[in-house]
Amino acid sequence: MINPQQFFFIAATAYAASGAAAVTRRGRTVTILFLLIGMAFNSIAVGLRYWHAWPMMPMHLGPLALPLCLGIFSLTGGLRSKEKNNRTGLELRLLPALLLLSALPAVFFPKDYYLPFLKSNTIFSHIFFLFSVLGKTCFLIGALKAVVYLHSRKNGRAADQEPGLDKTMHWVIWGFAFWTLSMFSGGIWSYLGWGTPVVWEDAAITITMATWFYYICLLHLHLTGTWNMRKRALFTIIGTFAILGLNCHPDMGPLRLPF
Amino acid sequence: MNYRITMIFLNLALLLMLTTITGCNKEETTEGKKRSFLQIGEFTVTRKGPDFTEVRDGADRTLILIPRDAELPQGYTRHQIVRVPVKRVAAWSNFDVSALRSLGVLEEVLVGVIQPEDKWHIDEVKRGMEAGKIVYLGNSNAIDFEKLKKQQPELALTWDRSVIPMLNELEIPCIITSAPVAMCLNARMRYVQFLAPFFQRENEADAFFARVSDALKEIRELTSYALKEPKVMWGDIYEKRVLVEPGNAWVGELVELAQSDYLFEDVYGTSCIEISTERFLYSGEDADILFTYSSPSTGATSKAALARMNPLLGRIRPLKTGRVYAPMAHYSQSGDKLDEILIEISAILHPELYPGYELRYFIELPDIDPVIPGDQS
Amino acid sequence: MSSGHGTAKAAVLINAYTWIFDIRMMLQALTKKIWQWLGSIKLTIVILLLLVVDMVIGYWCLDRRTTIFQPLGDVGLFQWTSTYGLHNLLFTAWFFVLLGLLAMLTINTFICTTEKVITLLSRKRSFHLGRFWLRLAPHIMHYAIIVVLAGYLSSYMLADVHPGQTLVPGASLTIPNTNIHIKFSSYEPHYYQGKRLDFFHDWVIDPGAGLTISSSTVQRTAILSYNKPVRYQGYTIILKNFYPKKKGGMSPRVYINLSIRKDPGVVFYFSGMLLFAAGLLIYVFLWVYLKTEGRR
Repeated sequence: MINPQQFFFIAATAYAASGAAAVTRRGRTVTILFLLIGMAFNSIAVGLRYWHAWPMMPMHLGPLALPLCLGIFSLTGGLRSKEKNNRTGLELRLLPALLLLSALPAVFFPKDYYLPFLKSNTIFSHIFFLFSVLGKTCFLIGALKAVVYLHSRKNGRAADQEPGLDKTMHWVIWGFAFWTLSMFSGGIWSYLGWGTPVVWEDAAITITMATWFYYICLLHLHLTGTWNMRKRALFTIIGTFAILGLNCHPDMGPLRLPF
Repeated sequence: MNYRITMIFLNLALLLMLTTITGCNKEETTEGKKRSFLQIGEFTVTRKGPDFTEVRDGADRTLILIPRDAELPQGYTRHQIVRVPVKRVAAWSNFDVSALRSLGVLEEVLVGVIQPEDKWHIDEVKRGMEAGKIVYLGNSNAIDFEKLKKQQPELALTWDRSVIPMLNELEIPCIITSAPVAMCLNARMRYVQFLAPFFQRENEADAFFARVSDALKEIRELTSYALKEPKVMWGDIYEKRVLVEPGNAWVGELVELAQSDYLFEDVYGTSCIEISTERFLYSGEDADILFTYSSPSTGATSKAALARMNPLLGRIRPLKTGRVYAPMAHYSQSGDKLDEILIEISAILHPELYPGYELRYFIELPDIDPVIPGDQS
Repeated sequence: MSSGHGTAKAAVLINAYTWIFDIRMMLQALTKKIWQWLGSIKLTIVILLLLVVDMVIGYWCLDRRTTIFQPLGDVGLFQWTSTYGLHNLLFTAWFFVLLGLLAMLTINTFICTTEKVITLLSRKRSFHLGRFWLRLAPHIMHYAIIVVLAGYLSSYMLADVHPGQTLVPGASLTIPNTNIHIKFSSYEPHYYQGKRLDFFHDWVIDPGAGLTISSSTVQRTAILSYNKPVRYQGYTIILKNFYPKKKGGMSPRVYINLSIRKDPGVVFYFSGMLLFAAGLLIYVFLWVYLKTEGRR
């Protein structure tokens, strides 16, 4: 049997190359080319895992799917822009790094050894998974936009009036919508499979809810303008990395060197 | 002002959290309260009154224990009532039979088993079967319910959920003694305390627990001097399936406690959980010791024999340069000697700390099968 | 002298009335302050942050200790609290804190939302219809959350649960205190035939258990499977486990393990979810639409 992990390792290497190209300013084309190669292998790895498990849900696929989703959103979003300015330049440099960072848990701590379980044979488990990955992707891009915004402010190119943080909130709102739909889908699955509102068999449910409350908090801070933009941007960055880092934990196995 | 009130609330909430967290330590030491509810893995015992105890078994079923002469309580079905002390028991698993032995009631109460006489290593069971007091009820796939009925058990201890409707029909209360999540070390040690109220043998159960706790303390102390941590795996490969003991199982916890590295510590779930072959082989590259489920009677006579049965197994380090241990035939019937078993596992992990120790429950597999003189095959 | 007495009396009375009036005013002011504080956005932020911290602590407490929390769905909140909850306080304290925080969040959300909705409705005419709904949508979500939480709470407090019910083909059971009979009438499992999951070949992928359910009035048959519960007269029958899992396995014995629940909370929490999703969709749609319009 072909091991999807090997494909993912190649994908992560390509992401690293893309990151290196971006940092050393080798140019947009080289960066995107490596990114595309990485995404191609990443797709194979995700596809293989899904192909093996279908119609059930592959276990702990999140860390494998997140970089791919990030790549797709990046290419269809900021990276596509031809406009050359500091903002897109910084994003171009940071995105591959973010991709690589999000790929690291799946490279070094894969948890691919649990076999799919029968109760995941429902459309709601797949929606639950898909929307949670989309949610995480949006949250990460939102945090990236906040970094770019803070960087612009530091260089004196942005004031509080500039709609810089709006872009962050744009992604956060989408992320929140996906995350909520993922949770509701999980709620329906829980009722159909176990008959209870919450399935306590999986401790990750608490982290999922913590994430939801965190982003409700962020949205309230934004919509009511409780803090100033700088504080909100910092809160977005620190919180996102902390909370999504915690989200990774249930999907991580012990250290397993890929070579 | 608002901010100040908010901060006060925040402090109060944190205080509440701390109080509840510290309060729990008191609960642990309040023996009386602790006794009124006992949780052993998925099994529970709740004392609701001096003559009224509620138990929850491995299949989430609730049963009520009442004295033999008490009136039937309201709100419960007949199948839920067990009159105590129970005088006649049919037991499906070796584990339950040995638990009865730990409580000192085996000879007195056991009337039916599902293994023939020649498979037993417990003297009391052999004697009982010889005398006709204990009856072989047929194997698990073909229980002779007529025979069972004739034995008039007041309780059946079984892992097989499929017999529940038939036992209900025969009006024999039963408890399911297996659970979906593997038993942790504490639950394994306390399991007799779950069975004790059925026979009113709480003191014997406490004595058993104390004995095993002492053994565990001894292991902890002795292994703290260990100079190296052997890497251990416990499982097997059967055709296309890989089954291992998860990290939450008692063996996994014991290995970790005895200053060793259990390679499936991160795996969580049921006993004999299935994982991917790749993971088993990956851990096998590092392992020093393998505990196999197979026994010499099922063909595990040597490392070479194991590798012949499952060629994939031949790739792992314990079969090449490490050590492999298989359970002896009487191992599964020795639950009442849990303290000795724990010490033996510790002695296997750290032979340097147990000089001259002779194995009694496991056998170390030789590299190849011993050549028996005159054996032409 | 008497008129002096009268004047003094009147003065005392006036003083007393003034005090009572002052106290009443103070109480009113205090109530208003407490009301405002309970509905303040700062309190919302604090509660939400505490919830995040509490749930993260909850993760470490719950991880590998699911046997403590699993019975919650079967035995109900009260019984669970007095047994599993209090016995394992070190690992369940976060859950009790969670209940407290959610109660506070519900009060806070209700007060804050109600005040804002009243204001919004009174100024309805001053808004463009789209903007009005954009402003109303978050409040729909707020009320929805309260409905969801009420549903969860009633589910854990009022559900009538009968776990661990086992049936073999041909056998039947009666739901306690009802005249509903459930018979396991047929068993037609579907087996996995693909090659992708090699070890899974010939394993049951869909255990189709046929049930015949009857009461004094109605009889019907239904197929029960994983994720396909059967509903009958307010009861939900859920398949918890089944056997055998494999074609031609070791044991030919067939059985199904059921959990039977009558849960009044289900309607609430699903209605709440639906309402929340509706509010969310209205918000996201109008937000995108008005943004695009604004750019034009």
